[in-house]
Amino acid sequence: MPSKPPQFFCIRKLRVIVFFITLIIVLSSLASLSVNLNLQAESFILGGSATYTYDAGVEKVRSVRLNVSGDDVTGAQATCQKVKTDSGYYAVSVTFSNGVESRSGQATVYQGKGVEYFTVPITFDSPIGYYPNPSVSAECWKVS
Amino acid sequence: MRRLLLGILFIVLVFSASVISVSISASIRRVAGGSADVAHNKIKILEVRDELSGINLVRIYVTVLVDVSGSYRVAVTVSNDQGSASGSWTGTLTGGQETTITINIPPPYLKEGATGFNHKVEVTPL
Repeated sequence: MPSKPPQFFCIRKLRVIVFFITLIIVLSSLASLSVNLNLQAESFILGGSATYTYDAGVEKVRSVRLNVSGDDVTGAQATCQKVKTDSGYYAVSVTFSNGVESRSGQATVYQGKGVEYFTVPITFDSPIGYYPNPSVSAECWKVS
Repeated sequence: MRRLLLGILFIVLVFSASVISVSISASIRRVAGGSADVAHNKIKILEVRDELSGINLVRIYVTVLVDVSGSYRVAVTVSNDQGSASGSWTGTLTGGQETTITINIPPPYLKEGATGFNHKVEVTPL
């Protein structure tokens, strides 16, 4: 009975080695995926983006600053630009939304001639959470 | 013998996969449950202020508050009916400290139009 040629043994060994290598690759891929997910979990990010929308026109909002207490927004300060030579009563309105609910506030102030920029504080009726999707819109206009 | 070996390897593979899946699901539950040992990086964009030269938007000031110190990229895209413009800043922010960032808008400048400026601000940890 003639024995098998030696190359068949080599092929079988090679197949086992390839299988082991494949197994190691699969396991190491799963392990790296697990580590990656763990690292992502450790640096969980909230509030990485926001939108601020201001109005146009003769009187327009140039900035809004949110008043925050912890993770809650309690109000805002809006800066309005008006015509320097005008005077009268100006209304400023700010709306904050966190993507789930929103709060609005409005205030009216008198501004005389010579003033171009003025800042109005606005307090919301009740605090609102800043997260998850913060957005702000503000406008100002001349009342009379 | 070969089948036995393959069977053992298959069992090892299934066991390893199940251990890893349990580990992943535990991590997800830990994050979703707001576990105290998970550092949530809370970012707040507190203020956006426009600076114009005539009718051209030339500069934007953004005040940011982050929980975790490190390198960040702050990008702003402004748009109205005249078009859009964007700028960005990269640097270090200190956790728990408000930082006002100046972002210069490169020419051609965005002009004031019939609609107001809409700002999209994105803060990304690097």
